Amino acid sequence: MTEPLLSVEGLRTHFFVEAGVVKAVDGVSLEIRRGEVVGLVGESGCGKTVTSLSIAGLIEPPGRIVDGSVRFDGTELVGAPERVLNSVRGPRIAMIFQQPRASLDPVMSVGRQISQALRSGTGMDRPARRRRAVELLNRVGISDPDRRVREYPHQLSGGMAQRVMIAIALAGEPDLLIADEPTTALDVTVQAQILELLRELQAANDMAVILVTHDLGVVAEIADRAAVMYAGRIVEECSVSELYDAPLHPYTVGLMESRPAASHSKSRLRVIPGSVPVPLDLPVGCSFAPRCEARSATNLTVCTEQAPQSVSPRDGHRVRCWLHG
Amino acid sequence: MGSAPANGPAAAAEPALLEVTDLVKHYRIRSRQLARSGLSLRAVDGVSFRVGAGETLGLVGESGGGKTTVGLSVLRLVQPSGGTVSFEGRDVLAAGRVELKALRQRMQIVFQDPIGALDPRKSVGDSVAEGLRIQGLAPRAEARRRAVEVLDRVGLTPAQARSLPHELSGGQLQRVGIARALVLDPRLVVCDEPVSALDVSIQAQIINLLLDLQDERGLAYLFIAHDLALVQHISDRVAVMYLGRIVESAPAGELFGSPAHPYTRALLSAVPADHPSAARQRMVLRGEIPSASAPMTGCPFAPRCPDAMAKCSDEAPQFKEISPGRWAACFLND
Repeated sequence: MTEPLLSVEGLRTHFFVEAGVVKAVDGVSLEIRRGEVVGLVGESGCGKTVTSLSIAGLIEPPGRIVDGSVRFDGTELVGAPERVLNSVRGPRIAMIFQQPRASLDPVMSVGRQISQALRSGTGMDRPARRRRAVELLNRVGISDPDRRVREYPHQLSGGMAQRVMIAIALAGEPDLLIADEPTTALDVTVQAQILELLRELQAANDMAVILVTHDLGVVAEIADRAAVMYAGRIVEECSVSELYDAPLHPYTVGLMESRPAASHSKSRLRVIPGSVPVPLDLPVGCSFAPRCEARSATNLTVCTEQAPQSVSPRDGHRVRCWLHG
Repeated sequence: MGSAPANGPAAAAEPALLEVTDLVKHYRIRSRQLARSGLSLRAVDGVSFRVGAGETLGLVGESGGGKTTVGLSVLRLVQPSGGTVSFEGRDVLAAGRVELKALRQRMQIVFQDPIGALDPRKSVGDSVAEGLRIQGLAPRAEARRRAVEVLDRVGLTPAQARSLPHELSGGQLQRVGIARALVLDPRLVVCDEPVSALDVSIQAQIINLLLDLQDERGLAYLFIAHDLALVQHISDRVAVMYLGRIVESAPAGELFGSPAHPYTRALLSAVPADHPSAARQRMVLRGEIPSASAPMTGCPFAPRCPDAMAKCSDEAPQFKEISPGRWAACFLND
């Protein structure tokens, strides 16, 4: 088997705040192959964004990667000098966010922002960068790119701003795109446009994508594999079809079943009781145990005593749950 | 659901709980550059619908469609520019101060962000009790007791009733928002994106609560949301808004099963798949919803419509009944 493009091992990213240590990411391992789209799924506070920021080397104090390794195409990124990080982050690992307008510089034209992304490493001169900026805008489906290249972020709609962010991300022809809730702030018809664009670019450039999202529908649309996070850990990892047809972890099962289904109009939805634990005060044992109905049905005592290890009951399917090993 | 009243100007004889006719809300544009143009923002541009007792009408559409303005207009939290709103047979827009206060006891609203509606320095129990005191329905001690009761009904403990808003989670705060509406024993609750700020597992809890309360109390909901799966789940009837107008309205099953307006079709086909195998031929709309201040003749959807004909940009289609209980504004149904 070829080496994965990205290999995350035992990643722990903690935040040292006055109230204590927030273990936002607490032992995440994940592999991404070239050209693969992985959905990193979970509810707010589960650590999915901190995981992606850790991979991109964007954790700032009071946060710190306290343990683990992030290897990208053979290079270790945790603890790597700024020079190494800069050669990877941007050109080879690019990132887009939920609020495209907040991520763009409001006082710099769209063209200059793309041009700046092109400056590092490409060796293009200014006119060439300008031409490439127009090309990239055209590539992400912005009409009239010659005019748009001179515009400023406030002149763009939300959907257009996200297209510009994608153009900037594509400037270095990255091997890995991390997209953090890229369509959450957009209307549903615009979301469909952006997902279509991401899918098309991903296939054309054989780019790997980590899609961070709370929306299982978006995962179904675009991802090959899914990793479900809960309280700082990946509790289940499998193909998207198995996520939908044969989820194993009780949390995943609950999430899948709590979505409103068209066929059962006005019936009560299945709920996961309680709420996500506060990361400052995680329960001993499995973090999901206090909310787990499967546990209360089977009366397993180990769940509240010891954290389960990740096991693989099926090929390509990993789960952290005592019910499965 | 079979006896649900039709939605539209010339609907059934049975008086509806809420009847909105030709509602219009224009905002004057204050920008200096545009003030002289005489342009105004047509947030709501001639909207009519009915909600029967115990019924849920879902109001869907993308941002800028005017859904929220409709909800606020129903309670006269904004003053409409035209049209009528009739609640239990009474004219809401003509009501005087005292009558309006009485009307607002019978119709309530739940917002997306409940914390904005709560006093940060008051316990949530006191905030819930406040409605009763303002309405003069109960003295302080009695109001407090009833607030604790209602909070208990929505799943909060007496200890949580004593908490300040910032001590509660998003889901718990939305329960407080619902309790605040409920304590006055309303007949109609306008729910404006009540779960869109909540996590999936918490959304389901709140939706179940709303369904249970409807069963127990025969509440009617005007349920405003952009999440189509959710609206389909909770609604008896659904109305789709685009640029200030309702373009289609029908019983939920029919609207989602066989949409009659191209915008509804586009909206439905844009919803992410509910299964990875459902890789569908998607109808991806071009462009985005235009500004409601752009001058417009003809059908508001024509510039983005894949089925637009020549006359669509000249003439606005009438919103009319195309089959019993189904209304749409599109020439394709002629």
